[in-house]
Amino acid sequence: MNEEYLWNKTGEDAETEKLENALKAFRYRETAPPVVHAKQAVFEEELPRRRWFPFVFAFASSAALILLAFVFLFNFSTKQVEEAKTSNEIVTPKLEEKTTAEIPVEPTKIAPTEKIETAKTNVQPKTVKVRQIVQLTKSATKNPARKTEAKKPFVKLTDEEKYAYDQLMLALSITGSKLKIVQDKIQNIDETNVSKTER
Amino acid sequence: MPEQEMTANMFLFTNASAATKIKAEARLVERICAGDEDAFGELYKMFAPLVHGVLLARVPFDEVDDLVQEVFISAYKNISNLREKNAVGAWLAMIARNRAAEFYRNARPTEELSEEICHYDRPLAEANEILTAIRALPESYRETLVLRLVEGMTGAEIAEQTNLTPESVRVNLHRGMKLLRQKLGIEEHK
Repeated sequence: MNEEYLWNKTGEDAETEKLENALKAFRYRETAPPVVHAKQAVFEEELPRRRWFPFVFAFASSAALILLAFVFLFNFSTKQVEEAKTSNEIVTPKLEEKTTAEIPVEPTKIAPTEKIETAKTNVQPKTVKVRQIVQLTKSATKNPARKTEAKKPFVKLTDEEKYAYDQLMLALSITGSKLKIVQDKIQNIDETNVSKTER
Repeated sequence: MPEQEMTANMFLFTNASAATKIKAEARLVERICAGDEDAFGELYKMFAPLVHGVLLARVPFDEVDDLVQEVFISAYKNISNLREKNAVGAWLAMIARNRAAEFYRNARPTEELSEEICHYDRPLAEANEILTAIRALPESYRETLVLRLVEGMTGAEIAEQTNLTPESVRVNLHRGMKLLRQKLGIEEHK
C-alpha cells in the first residue's frame, strides 16, 4: 500500500486505484443547489429583537418588583394597624401614663418647643394612636358588629398629633402618586414595544 | 533532509491555503446572512461533495441526493445560529450525520429483495460490495475512506473541510484501508 498515494494521490498504487475506479459510480455528480428564498428581512428583524429583549425584560421585572414591594409594604402597614387595634386597651393607657408622667414634672418651666421635642421621642406610640383612630372610623362604618367601638368618646388630637397625622397622610398621597407614575410609565413602555414590533 | 523540507513546505502550503479558504467560508456565510442567494450556491458547490460523502457512508445510495438537498435547506434556515463561521464544513457534516440518523428513525420497515430479483451490473455489484464493506467499518474510518475513495478528496482536503487535524485523517485513512483490505480479502504486497 502506497501511503503517499492514499494521502495526496502522488505516486502509484494499483489496488487503491482499483477501489477508486470501482467506487466512482457512487461519486457526487454536480447538481443544482436547492431553491431558497432570501431571508434578509428575517435576519435583520431577528437580531435587534434579541438584543433588546433582555433590557426590556430586566426593566419590566424591576418595575414589577418595585410594585410588589409597594403592595407588600402597604399590606404590612395595614396589618400593623389591625394588630394595634386588637391590643388597643393595653397600649393606650400605658402611653397616657408615660406622657402624663413626663409632662407634669415641671410644667411651668418647660417651653412649648421642648414639649414638641419630648413628644418626638415618643413618635412611635403616637403614630400608632393616630392610625387607630383612622381605622376605628373605617371599621365603624363597615362593620355594624363593631359599632360599640365607634361609640367610644372621640379622642381629641393634640397639635403635634395632628401634625403627625397630616404628615402621614401627605406621605401616603405622595407614594400613591409615585405609584401611579410608575404604572403609567410601564404601560407606556409596553405600548411602545408593541407598536415597534408591529412595525 | 530534502524530504523533510518538502513535507514542511507542503504543510506550510496547506496551512496558508486553509487560512485563505477559511476566510472565504466566513465571508460566504456573512453574505448568506445578508440574503445573498448566489453565496449560498457557492457554499453548496464547495461542500456538496463532503455532505454527499458523509451521507453515503450511512444511508442507501438512492436516498443520498435527496438528503443532500435537505441538509443544505436545513443549513440555510439555521445559518444565522452558526457561531463558528470558520467551521462550516464540520457544521454541515454534523447536520448530515443527524439527518442520516433521522432517516433511519423515520424509515418504514421494508423487505429486502433477493439477489436473484435484484440484477446489478457486474461493476456496480462490485462497487456495492466494497461500499458495504466500508460501511461495516468504525464510523471515523468509513467517513474518511468514503471521502477519499468515493469523492476523490485528498487527505489535506478532508482535514480542511472536516476540521480534523491532518495527522488524524492520515491515521484514519491508514487504519481504515488496512481493515477494508482485510474485509475484502486483499493480501498486502510488500
